Amino acid sequence: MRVDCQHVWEHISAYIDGEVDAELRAQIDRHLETCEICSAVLDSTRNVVVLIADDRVFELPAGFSDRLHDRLERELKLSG
Amino acid sequence: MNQRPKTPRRRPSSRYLNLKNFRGDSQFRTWVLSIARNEGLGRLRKTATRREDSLEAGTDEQTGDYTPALLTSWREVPQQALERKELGDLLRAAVEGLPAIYRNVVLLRDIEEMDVRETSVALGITEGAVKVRLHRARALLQRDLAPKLGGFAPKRKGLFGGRK
Repeated sequence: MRVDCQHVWEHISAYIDGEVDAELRAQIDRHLETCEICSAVLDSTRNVVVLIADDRVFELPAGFSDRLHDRLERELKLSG
Repeated sequence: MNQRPKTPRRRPSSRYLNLKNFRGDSQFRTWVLSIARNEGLGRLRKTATRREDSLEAGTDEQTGDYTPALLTSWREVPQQALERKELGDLLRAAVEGLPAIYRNVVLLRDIEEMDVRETSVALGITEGAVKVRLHRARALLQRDLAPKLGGFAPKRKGLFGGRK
């Protein structure tokens, strides 16, 4: 069965996470071989996921971890 | 600078204090996040003027009504480009601009790298809802960011001789 572009878009996130079954993966792979648009959508979506996951994008402020642990210690002592 | 918290001091949640009740069979991080979520929801409920968004949005079981940004001019922005402040700003703004139900899933799944089960526990939603929301969140991010990221992609070598 040949899948259409809309069908590929619906499964793009699961495809990136390796959560589509073998049959669907093969169908999508076949579609991607000939569809420049879907191929670009997949690549750009995957790239966005990689970029936002980079530690430099959402780094915690310096000392955050220490302050959190201090706060937990303090609250636990207060609670007895 | 004085770093006084913005919210008034209050007694922490009783659950927060019962660390001895923490069950060793779940991730500490998941446990803390589920408490934080419940605390946050409790505070929101007390704010009578604030409208609550449904946690189980009606669109959760549907994924088809989305059209991605159909750009083929860039496919990959190298992570080295993150040395440029504007790129980080763009990415943060895009994530922060997502509706909360999608943003929370992206933060836990893609940024905190929690698995589907941990995320579902922390947010109090089903694993299916985690997957659907993550899909929609990534689609929204792609649509928002794709038109903006071209300038960070490496220049293609080609007809015009590539980089100057």
